[in-house]
Amino acid sequence: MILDRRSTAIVVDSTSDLPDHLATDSNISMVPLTVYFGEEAYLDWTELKPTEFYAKLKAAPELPRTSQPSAGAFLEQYKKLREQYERVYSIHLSGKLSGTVASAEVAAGQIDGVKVVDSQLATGGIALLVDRVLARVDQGTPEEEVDAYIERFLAEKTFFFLPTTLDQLYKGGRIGRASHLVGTLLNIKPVLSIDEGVIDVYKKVRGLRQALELMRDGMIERTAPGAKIFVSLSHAENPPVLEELRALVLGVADRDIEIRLTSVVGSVIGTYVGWGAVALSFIQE
Amino acid sequence: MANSDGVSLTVPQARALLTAGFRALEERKQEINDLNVYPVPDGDTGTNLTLTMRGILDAVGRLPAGLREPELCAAISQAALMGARGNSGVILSQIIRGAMEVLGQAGPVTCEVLARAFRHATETAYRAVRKPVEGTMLTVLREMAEAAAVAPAGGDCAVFMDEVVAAGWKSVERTPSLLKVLADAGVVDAGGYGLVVLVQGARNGRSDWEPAVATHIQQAPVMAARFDQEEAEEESRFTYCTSFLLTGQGLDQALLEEQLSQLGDSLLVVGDQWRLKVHVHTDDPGRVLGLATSLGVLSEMEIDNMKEQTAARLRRLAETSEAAATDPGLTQVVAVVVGEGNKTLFRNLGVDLVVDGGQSMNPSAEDLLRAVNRAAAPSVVILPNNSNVIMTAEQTIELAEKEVLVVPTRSIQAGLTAAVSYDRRLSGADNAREMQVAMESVLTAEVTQAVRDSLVDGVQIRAEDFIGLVGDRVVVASRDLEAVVEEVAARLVGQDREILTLLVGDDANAPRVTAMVDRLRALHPTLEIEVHEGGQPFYPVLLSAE
Repeated sequence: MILDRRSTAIVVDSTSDLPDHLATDSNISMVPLTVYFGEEAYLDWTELKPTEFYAKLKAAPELPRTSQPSAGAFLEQYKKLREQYERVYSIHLSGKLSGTVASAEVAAGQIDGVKVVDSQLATGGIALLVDRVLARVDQGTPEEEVDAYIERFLAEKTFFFLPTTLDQLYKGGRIGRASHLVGTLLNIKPVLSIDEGVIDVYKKVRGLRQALELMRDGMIERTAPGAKIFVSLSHAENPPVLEELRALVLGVADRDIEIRLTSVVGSVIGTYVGWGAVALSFIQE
Repeated sequence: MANSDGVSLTVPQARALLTAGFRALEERKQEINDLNVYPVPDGDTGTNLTLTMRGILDAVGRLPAGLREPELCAAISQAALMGARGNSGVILSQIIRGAMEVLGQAGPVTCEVLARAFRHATETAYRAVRKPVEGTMLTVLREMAEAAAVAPAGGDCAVFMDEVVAAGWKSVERTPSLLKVLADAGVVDAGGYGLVVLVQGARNGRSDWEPAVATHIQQAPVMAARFDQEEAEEESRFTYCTSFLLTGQGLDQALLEEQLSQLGDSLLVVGDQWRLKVHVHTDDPGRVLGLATSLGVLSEMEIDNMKEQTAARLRRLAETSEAAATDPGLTQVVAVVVGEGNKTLFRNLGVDLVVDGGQSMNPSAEDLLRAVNRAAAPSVVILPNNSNVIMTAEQTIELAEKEVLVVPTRSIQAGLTAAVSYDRRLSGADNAREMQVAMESVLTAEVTQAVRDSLVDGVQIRAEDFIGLVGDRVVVASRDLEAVVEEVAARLVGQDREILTLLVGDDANAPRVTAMVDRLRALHPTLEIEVHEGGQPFYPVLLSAE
């Protein structure tokens, strides 16, 4: 079948941290995770926007906890969407970082027409995949082509991020293959990646500027000269560093770079990467 | 065995010659150290040459007496290669290698053979140095070889060698006219000087090919003990092998040697008035340590029960399983580091093979090779972290059976920056490339205290001045430590640097550096300033800017 705006809906969870134009798109709906400060529970994005979240994070005596949506929450959403749409693509945070995609799969097993995609990514990386799928839906694209594209995206995308702390990834059990960096005495700025859904170390340097340059150089290394590159940039409320990263990315001369979106890291991912983190996701078309 | 024209080289003769050369070097070691032009307490050419010879002697001492020339000479070459310390030691090892290649094949040793040995030694040594500099031990060697080529070869080898040695001393005297740094400092080249001391010593020890050991027993009880017993190491009657590093001021090597010789055997006391490396087999390590503690500060203590073979085996097994427990990946790093705090910083970056080093304590190729062999990964990257260790590190490339790559870090700070980019999952070549890039991105500086007056890089230095070096250049000298640190920091953080790192030493002046960190922060408000306890001697602070 041909996927287009009449036939197809997209579901995301709140860790996709969609920018406004995607968050308000009529074909996209979002199921939130929950953030707990002590006993107080907040639905990510719905009840707690990043600005408030980072203010609370700074003031909080202990780190917030997060929890995935229930299968029921997804099922409810799917049922509603299936009344109007023939096909639902449900795109989620890496299954190796969260049980969210597992909840979605349980729900999808109880209704037909829903395809669950483990993005193997987080935040702006998920948003970039959503943007790319939506572009195909906008044009009207055969389902097999969309599926093939998603498969290629998952194989070829890159997600780099620069956390401001490793402690929270470590305490939250999300540190993956970067665990050896915890407790480093020298102030190291590691550029982390998510590879095959797991957090990994791309490269390490000491200065912030150098770390941003590493991210840019990684983009050059992983793409071909002259190629069309779609990019998303994310930041945990850190506009100056985001702009530095943007300038570096746009400064790459021999690539056709299109920054598709800039997003703000929300409370769930922000809990782990810390206030001030930045991320760069890209895919070569 | 000896014919009228020459004699065959035997193991006892080789020992006698090498012992005589070693002894001469050791006697004048401090003199040679003092010739180092660098006005900081790294005067270690004499120490390095002596330790290199010591390594050769130890190896030759273990050789069976009946060994024939080719095997003997090959063994001496190998021992020189393994024992080489510091750049002067590495060059010496190449000189010996060249000479041995001739002596091993030549049959009876005649003046003509010696002349050829000098010539080939010169060729080998020049080849080993990437950018040969005239006015160094290379020049002195070449001019000795030139003298040997024209000296009367028919007669007595003693006369012949006298001419060669005389040419050597003349050459040493000319070194300041060839190398400006020597002239500025008012000294001759330390390596060349040491080389002639060695050759002269060996020549004097040659008399009738008798081992010189016998006639100098009271001067060198250690040497006598070592060479009287074929396998002293294995059959010591003492239980504990005790070794440690003693740091202090005005340490008296001869006195300590005398005192320790009462307590055990296989005694080795090497170093200088600031640091002595001690090794002794004893039944009473407590008394040994007690004695040493009264003289200075102890570190790197190792006490092994030599009789407890089982314990040693268990320890080896434990080490192996420990190494196997963490995946070594494709590449491991060997770093030469001085200072306990600095070692911790390296280990913290995943560098688990740390070799003790630093000024006046340059490791031998063998020390590095041992560390390389402890690595479980197929590739090893060595970070020498000292310009005087780079050549030694490069020697291990050919000595090791696994892939060894050297990233030529010239300071602890550069080494740390390189180690930050270490990734065990990458190949040796990939790691070396990343580390090289990282190393080149860092600016380094150091602050130390001059040991004597001199003029370096146009800066007039008085003894006891604090001097600041940026890269390898002296930029400031003053009695005021804080002013020197400020000046050096200001020069480092010029263009778009983000982090200034201070590694504070264990020097008596180090607390003054720690006390002025807030002042540096006020002077450079946009800079991130990191301070770590490095623990290195002689340098109140090492700095880097990234």
